Amino acid sequence: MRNKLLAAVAAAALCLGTAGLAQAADPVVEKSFYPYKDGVPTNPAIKVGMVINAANVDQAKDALDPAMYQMIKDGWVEIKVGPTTSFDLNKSYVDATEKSYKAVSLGDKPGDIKGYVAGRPFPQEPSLSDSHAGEKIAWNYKYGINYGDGGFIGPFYWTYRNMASGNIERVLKMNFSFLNFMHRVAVAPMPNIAPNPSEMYRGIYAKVLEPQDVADTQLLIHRYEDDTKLDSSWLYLGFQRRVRKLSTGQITDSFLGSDLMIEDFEGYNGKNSDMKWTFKGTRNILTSFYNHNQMELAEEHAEPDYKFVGLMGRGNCFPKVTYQLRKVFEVEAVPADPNHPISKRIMYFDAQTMYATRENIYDRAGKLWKTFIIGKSDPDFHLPINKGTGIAIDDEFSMIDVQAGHCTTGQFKAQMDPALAPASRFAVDGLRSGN
Amino acid sequence: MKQWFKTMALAGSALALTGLALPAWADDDSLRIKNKIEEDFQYRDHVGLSKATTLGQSDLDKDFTPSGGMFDAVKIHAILRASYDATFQLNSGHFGNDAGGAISFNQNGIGAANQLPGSRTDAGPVAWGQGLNLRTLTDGLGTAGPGGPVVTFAPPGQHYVNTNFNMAGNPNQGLALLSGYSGEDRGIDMGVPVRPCDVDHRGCIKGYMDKNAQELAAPEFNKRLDFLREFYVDGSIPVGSNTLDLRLGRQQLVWGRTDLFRVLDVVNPIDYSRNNIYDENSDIRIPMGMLRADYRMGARGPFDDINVQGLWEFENFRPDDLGQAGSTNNPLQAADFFRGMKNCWDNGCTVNNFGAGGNLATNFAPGEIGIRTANIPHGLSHSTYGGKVEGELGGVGFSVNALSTYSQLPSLRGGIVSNDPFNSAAAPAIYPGVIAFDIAFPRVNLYGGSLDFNIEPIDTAIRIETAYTQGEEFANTARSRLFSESDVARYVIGADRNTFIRFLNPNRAFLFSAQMFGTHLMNYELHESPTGRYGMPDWQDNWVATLLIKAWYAHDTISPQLLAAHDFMARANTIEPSVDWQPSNLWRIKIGANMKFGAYKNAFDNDVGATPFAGMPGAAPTIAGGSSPPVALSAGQLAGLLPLGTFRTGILGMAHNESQLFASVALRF
Repeated sequence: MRNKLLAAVAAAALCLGTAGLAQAADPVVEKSFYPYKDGVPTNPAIKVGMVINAANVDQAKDALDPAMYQMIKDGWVEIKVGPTTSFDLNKSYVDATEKSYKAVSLGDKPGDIKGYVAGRPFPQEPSLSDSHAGEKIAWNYKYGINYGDGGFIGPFYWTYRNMASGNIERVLKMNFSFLNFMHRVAVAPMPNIAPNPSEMYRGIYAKVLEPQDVADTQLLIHRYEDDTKLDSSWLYLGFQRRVRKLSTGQITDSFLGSDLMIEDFEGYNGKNSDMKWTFKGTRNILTSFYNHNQMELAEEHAEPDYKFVGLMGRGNCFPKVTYQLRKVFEVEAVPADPNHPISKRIMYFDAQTMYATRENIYDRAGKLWKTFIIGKSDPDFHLPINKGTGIAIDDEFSMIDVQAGHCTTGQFKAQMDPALAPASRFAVDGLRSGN
Repeated sequence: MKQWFKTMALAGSALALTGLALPAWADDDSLRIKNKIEEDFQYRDHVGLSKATTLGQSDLDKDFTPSGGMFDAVKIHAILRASYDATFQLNSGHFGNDAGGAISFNQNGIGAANQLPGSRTDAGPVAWGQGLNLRTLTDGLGTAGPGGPVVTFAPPGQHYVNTNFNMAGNPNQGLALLSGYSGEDRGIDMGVPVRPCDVDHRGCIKGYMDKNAQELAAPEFNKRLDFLREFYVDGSIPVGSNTLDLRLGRQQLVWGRTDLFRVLDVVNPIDYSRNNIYDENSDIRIPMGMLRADYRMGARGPFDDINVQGLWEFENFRPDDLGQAGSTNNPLQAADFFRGMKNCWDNGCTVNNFGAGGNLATNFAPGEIGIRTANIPHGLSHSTYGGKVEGELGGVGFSVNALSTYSQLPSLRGGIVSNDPFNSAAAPAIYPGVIAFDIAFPRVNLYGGSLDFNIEPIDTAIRIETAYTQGEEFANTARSRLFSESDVARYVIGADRNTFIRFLNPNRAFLFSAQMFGTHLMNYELHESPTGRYGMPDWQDNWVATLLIKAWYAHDTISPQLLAAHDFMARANTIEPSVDWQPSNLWRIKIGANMKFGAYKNAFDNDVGATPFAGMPGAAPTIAGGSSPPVALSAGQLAGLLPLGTFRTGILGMAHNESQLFASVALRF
């Protein structure tokens, strides 16, 4: 009951935040958060309603990232174009940006930032002439609205698939929780949860529910405000009933045998200072932004109040959704650690929301290894709890290992309900409560 | 049994009282059930089938959301387990009703020139019951029989009265040599009854090692109702911004941060009879009825997380399950020795290379040597209690732990009243240095702590654990009761690192997990004399290193691993390669081998040099140029693997003869 009350209050706060006029007084902030106010991107080869397939993909090449182009060209998938819509972010986040961004600057070395309070730290349009533009986008991503001040995914189905045969090898059912401990903009306490002696910025918690061999496995990540400080990560293994502190090597290793590393979560789940970020330019490409309720949803895993996004294409590795032509910032991220298992990430950050919705990951030899699709739904076309939150909803992911012909797909039931992510869930001892 | 019901009744009452405090609650979710059926096979060289277990287990969980009242959330959890090991049927010649047989000992002999009255003194085989009759040395009552003297062991509790052997009550059948696994050395040896206790009751220790055939094959169906493996109620009470979590019922409580060997993880006893030390601890911890309270405060002051835990174990104390003579796993061979010694006390026995300076198989009558009884603490006044503070501070996880409990491993306490095997006229008395014992489980207090942290430059997570215990008891041949107390410091440092070996797997790192366990006996006693070494057989300092290398392929559906352990002082090793394959979410198949190699015969004073009885022939030991021990005690004149060399050989070395292949198939649904 108490949780429901908190959720109602939180949702109300978020709704109030978005009830205001979708604009900002500051032109920099206005352009950053409402890029489509004066019109959506266009491309003569791209029309709403068209299907891009192997036959016509060459015409649409400019509107696709290289990996997506190649996958369509190879007949792995056909994508349907939907109308580009504005994903207006929560007004409290926009207001916080407007209030404080002018005082924000980069520090002397990677991982340093000065003057940041809340919101988007660098709303200015990135420029190729700015050698720090990539790093600034990375900061915008780190301090992005993400799951708001707190959110929950549950259930969250991860399916391991063989692309060639279409066989499903494994299905994991999980819950994920996210909580911002600092720079909160919409839900009390604001701006920070106290006490917070180590200045933890954000917590991520995951628990595996099925299958039995990994059931009760729990992952807890503490990311600190000091970006140069190593994340603290713990894994609770149900079959051992023991909490283990993770070495950094485990962050860049396959998570539970999937095609994702812990570092891949949400697009990039690491420290800014672990990468060298280079802005490669602004582009308009097709990305998986859509309205969940208007998609063809799957019967599989369906719940009384919710259906998950369906899958299609080679090995059912692709989301059955429409793609919007959207403005993105292309950024190259090269690991600082020469022993890192990848050589670089090419990330496409959605200019309006700063989510990393498309990403191509290259192996140590520089060959394309994996390609990451993250489907985002407008919150107003999703679960009622998400309506009006101003937070684009994680709805589907596909991490495709193009070398191995394998993928892991994720189907979300995301709920922007801070009451479902209480602070106690992010305490290390909470992991032991299942002992 | 009565006490068990008392404690369960108490637990029930507590549950009922808790229930009174609860408001009406609503089902928060349906009953969640997880089931597992597992077939597990093991095959040993020289022995054959050593495990053929069918196991069924169900985990049940049910959540409730109270509508008002003091509890925020309530959960009921239960694990039901039943298993049946067909080994006792399929390989009954080694582990069942037909195990053992007639035995004989190869005595060292003292030669014809030293002929003793009525006994065989040449080297060679001497059958059970046909050893040297000590009374013939003093009473001259020995009666010659075929192949040697014939002696009767007196009934339990009665003084030795004659010299005739009562083979009817203690026949030469269903026995195995204690040295059977390692081969005889020139030290002592014993006969051990190895059939289930309902088939052969000899040597069974009531309430400790007295399993019948059904209990050996289906261990969950016993007086302690072990089929109800876990059953507890969780309740969460908000206290301001903190939470008080209560758990009441039979449960496992895991302390510490290490695997395989235990330093702090000692709240629950362990069932070593299942697969020695090689099963996951969560599968072999013996859940205990307890009340556990965790006061979770989250971030406070300088701590990122700080919590206080208290526990009270109200279920009757249970020692570690060390198996039973005739069962498939007997760590340190303690169960074999205990059963042989219990039979000695109850029915008399023949001990090889004991008399005549440790050279002749020697008969003992009941009540002369052996194990009289096991005193297992029971009742609420003997409960376990303790607590810990655990938290995170500046990226370092820590815990401070304290526990008052009873040793889960047995102590043999000498100094009990026994009979003089040399003198039928002597009154029963306490004879210093006599190997007549009661089994005890002494109260021990543990203080310890643990840390974990990352060393970023080497990408390694470090785990440290230490414990200091007071009250543990150790064998000590320099003491008249043959044991002494010592504080013990145990410690472990572990390191976990994920490392790519790219030519073996370019996309998935290997887990390297290394641990070094150390033990230091604070009150150590070991004497070196011209006649030999005597005192405490354990090593004052010893270390065991473990290494786990684990790999994953095919999206973690195939996982080969290598587990290795090395006992530094014993120079004993174990290596266990295995492969785990999960063809689907439902099935899991595992095959592997567990191989032991290295040293496995560390000798130590076997106390045969003790001269506690006035009628014993030969001079009391004297030590030139140094302090002499009390004349009654051993001065290390005679040594062998059995029984005390086993402590030096350790749990790895004493399983030397148990190298095995294994395979298991599990279905989970």
